[in-house]
Amino acid sequence: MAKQTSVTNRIREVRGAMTQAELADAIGVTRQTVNAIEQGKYSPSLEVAFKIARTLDSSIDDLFSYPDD
Amino acid sequence: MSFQEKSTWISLATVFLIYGWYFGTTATELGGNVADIDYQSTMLFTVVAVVVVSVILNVVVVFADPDASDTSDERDRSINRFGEYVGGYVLAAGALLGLGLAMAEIEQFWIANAILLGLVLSELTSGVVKVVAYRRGF
Repeated sequence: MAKQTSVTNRIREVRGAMTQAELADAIGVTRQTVNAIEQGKYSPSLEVAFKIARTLDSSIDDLFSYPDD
Repeated sequence: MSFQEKSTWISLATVFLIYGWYFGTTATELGGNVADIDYQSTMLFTVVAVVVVSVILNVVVVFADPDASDTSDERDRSINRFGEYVGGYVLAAGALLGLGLAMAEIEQFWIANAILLGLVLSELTSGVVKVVAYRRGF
């Protein structure tokens, strides 16, 4: 059921001075969802991941990583 | 806490307290012939009360934070879908219980209350699953 996702990310580090609320507004989700993504409690859809990458002028590969088996 | 999570908490608390009151009150009337128990009016009052109290509390939350009230994103929808999916199993079990009691020609009192109990437990299960998903991650 509810669990931490294996996907890790560097959103907190890359967004710098931009607040969670500002990022949330830019990509069309709630601030709580941005917080959950940053804490590894929620894996965003591919569409939201692309929006985050575009907003932060970065790439999905740079922001998200998945551990090797 | 997002508006959707607050709404989930409201639903959970309302269902637990008001239906808890109903089943507690009804249980005190057991002992004699259940066919003589006038449960219908109390049950209808309770169902209406849950809806009315939920709406009022949600309106209060909306007034407290109008900007957050219209925001529901993919995470909210996923959590809601998952909670309703799990709750659906409980609802099905309640429906089967009601069906079994009807086939066994048990008193209508027990059939009606078994179906209501299934609905309530389904709501509670959905609510708990959603709250855990919001808190622990999904």
